[in-house]
Amino acid sequence: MGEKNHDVRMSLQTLRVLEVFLDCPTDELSGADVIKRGGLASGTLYPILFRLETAGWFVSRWEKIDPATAGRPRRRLYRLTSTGLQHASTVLASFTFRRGLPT
Amino acid sequence: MTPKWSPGPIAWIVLRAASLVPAPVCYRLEEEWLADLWALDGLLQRIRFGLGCVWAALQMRGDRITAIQSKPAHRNFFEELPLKPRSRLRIAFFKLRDRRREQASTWLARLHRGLRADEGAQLQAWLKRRSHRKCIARVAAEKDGPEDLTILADICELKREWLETRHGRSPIVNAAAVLIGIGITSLPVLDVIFPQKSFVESLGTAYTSDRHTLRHVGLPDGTQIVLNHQTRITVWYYDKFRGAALVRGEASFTVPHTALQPFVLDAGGRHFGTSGATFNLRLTGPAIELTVLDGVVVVAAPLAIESRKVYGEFVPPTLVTAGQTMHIKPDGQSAQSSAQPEVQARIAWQRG
Repeated sequence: MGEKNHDVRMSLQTLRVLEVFLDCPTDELSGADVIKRGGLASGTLYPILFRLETAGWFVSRWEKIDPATAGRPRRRLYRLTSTGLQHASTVLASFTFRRGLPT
Repeated sequence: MTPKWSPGPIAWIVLRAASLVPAPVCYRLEEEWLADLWALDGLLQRIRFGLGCVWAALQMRGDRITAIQSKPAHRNFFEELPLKPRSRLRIAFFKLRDRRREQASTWLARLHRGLRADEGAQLQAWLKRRSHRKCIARVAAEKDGPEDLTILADICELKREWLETRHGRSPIVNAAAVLIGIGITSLPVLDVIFPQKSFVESLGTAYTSDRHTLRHVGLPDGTQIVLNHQTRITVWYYDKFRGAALVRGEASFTVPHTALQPFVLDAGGRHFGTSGATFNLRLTGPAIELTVLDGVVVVAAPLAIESRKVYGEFVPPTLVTAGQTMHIKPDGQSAQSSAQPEVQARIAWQRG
């Protein structure tokens, strides 16, 4: 993936993806899991996952199963890296703090 | 023959979407998206997923990825520039939205430096449109500018709901998704109305052989297809996808070895794939007979929903090697080795 770039472009959808992973920071989630938990559309999710993985916030691996034995195809699992965890927490905290609008 | 409705077309859409992304990412996405499609429940959710994959692939195309990666990094959400990287594929609506956001940013910058004499009237005129007021309020909120919002509230009418985070998709996008979903789910109905040619068939080139006539079809990659009499196939050949659907009858395929482009064949609701092989496929009603003369053909597992419905359990993919014949019937499937004379007898029709 080349040199890791830890600063990534943030959007509301990106924040929602990070929220899903921060709910269970040690879990490995597939795209389908994130879609179910975060209510995101695949059209926005996968570019975000790809971008965050490129930036080094996520790592991914193939699920270690035999599709014939398990009775289903193997999934691609994503997990927050320690760097990603740190950055995601900071970004989400910043977002929550700065979100206040004038009444 | 009217094909039965199955998730097959969605898997096809997903594979087609993945092929829009440059290699080698597309190979990873093919497997990843198919697995995630498999994990989702409900037809509408799968349709939405498939269409979303097309959008994701367009987003992830090389130029867009390059643009995103080469863009100066932003520290947080509020410092993001209002304009996204330009792409060749832009819909008029998004162009209009981007232009509006650009104008809103410009007016906010002018407000910061102080309006000149003539700019006040221009801003008032620009703010007459509700869409402009809404846009500038949102841009100001994203830039974390309570002062800007306060000034704007003095100049024009702002509504608080404009600034609230919108959950879910807009009604327009939802309506469009429903219409597309209705369109896709009505494909089988169209097939009933127009049984001569299905929608999926219309995307490729159809070849039909007459009674007592064999027909030879050659593809640009060197693939040779021989159609037995009264056979119909549809062939798709694109940059990153080559495949065919055997609609009825029997055909023999000689697929040259190509590492990057698997040849995918659809027959009787099942999918067959090979990177290079010689094989014969016969479709007799719901029964399929595959005879491999050379190489290996992978008989893909039916998608889970269909697999459970037909076989009661998940059926794993099967490798059929040279000299083997596989029989697929509605109540089960089996692969067995055949003696050479038997194999030759099965393809004897090619000699007339």
